[in-house]
Amino acid sequence: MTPPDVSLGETPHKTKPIPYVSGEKPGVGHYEEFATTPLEFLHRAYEECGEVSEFDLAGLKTVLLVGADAHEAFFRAPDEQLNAAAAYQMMVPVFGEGIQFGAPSEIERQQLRMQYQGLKYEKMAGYYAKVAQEVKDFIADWGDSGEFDFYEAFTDLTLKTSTHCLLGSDFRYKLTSEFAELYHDLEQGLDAAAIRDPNSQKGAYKKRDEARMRLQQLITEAVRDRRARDFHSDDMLEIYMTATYEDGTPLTEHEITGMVIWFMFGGHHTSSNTSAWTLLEICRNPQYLAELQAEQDAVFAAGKEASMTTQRDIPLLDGFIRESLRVHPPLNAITRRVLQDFHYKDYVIHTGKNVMLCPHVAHKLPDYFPNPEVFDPRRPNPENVFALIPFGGGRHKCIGNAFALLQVRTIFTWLLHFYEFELAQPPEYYREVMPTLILRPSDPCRVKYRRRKV
Amino acid sequence: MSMARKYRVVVDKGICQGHSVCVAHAPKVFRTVDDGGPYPLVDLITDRPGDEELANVELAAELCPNGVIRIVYED
Repeated sequence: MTPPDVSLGETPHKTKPIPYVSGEKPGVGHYEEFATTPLEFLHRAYEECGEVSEFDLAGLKTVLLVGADAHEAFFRAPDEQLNAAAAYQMMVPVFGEGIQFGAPSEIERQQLRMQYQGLKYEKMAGYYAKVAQEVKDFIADWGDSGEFDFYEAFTDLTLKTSTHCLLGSDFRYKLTSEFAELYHDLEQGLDAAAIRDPNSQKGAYKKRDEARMRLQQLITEAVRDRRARDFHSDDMLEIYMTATYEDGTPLTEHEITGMVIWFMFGGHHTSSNTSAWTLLEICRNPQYLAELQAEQDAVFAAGKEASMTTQRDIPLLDGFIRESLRVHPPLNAITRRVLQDFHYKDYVIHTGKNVMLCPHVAHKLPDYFPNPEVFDPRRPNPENVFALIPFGGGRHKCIGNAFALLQVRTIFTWLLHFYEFELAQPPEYYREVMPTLILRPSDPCRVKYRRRKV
Repeated sequence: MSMARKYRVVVDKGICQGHSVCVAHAPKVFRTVDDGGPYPLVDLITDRPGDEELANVELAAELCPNGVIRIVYED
């Protein structure tokens, strides 16, 4: 099959060499800089070279593409040409062999069909009440005022909301701090080094593998418990337990565990970080507070606080969330492996290299986002859907994107209705850091709260 | 009420993931078709719906999580 991006009238003499980022070191290329300060490095690559730049991650040649046109070419390329599985092998030890990118693409497609069952629009309506219940419980013992670590709090809250919606009440109320710690250990296995060699034996990877084994025990116990009680529920665990591949084979316990981890992993820390940044931006931009509160109060007045809301009901809050995703996108290295030479404008990216997109760089382009450094919750979405890519794009776009927005919206509708928030430190103390592959605010993430008189 | 066709609907199947928000809001215009891929894909029942569907189609376009739907106004 000829991939559509390979131009038929190919004229090799017209291709230009890809600009190469300065500062490589013998033996490791740009790897050290990428591993320690990935965002600064990728911004530098763009500023030095423009929309196409190449660098070397200790032998792995990587081409950064920046801008809506380049993103579109990237996302529309077929898997046979730009391949996600080959580029994301670091996820295989986390989810397990035989799951997602650890499975042949034919199996991955069938697994994705199973995951999709929990994210259909008709399922969404039932999730609002569960998220609302969790937020209500979350603030039940807050009292009139206090201070809290919002990073930890949102990590805890979104684990509960996503578990409750997707794995059911029985699983949710058995959720212990151990479960959260296991997820944390899994996440620690995802750093720049894992892009190169996810199977090396450094300490974090050993913990990652132990966490994966323990999670399998816990999830398998829940599955066996349901089977013993003949318990059925309208959630993802039920879907995994009853799903079959097209040849009729059911999922094994190993696969069920992998599907749960995959699903939860995709949505947990990305949503918790988006919540953390949204709260931070609400505190940093108090000029919008009265209007934000009025918007959420209207949702409560209409009795919609535990049911479906859209951006039409809460345009300003929705704008805060979207703008937080623009300025502080959680995932910043969207990667594919080139399996067939990829042509973009006058450049050809050869087979064997990685191609990367970086939302953090792309979301600051003034052509699409005038005054990009200004946080503007009323900023219109750019016309070109490929300019704003916090959830990726194309066939591999995060299918949980609507669920993520549902969770964060509901969390803030409740929080803003009952409480006011204020930074506990000067605004500049909250910096962007990326210790694993997810962007988060730096510690200490302290915010003060005070109950509103409503 | 005028039935003049003043707009048409364009969908980009290449970026659809079957969320089906459009089907919920404008079921006379959009449906999804399962072609065996990872998720069903949007399909237009008609690309020139009547005036009475315009508000529904606009809502579907606005709420589509993937920005699949475009309305081309022809007046």
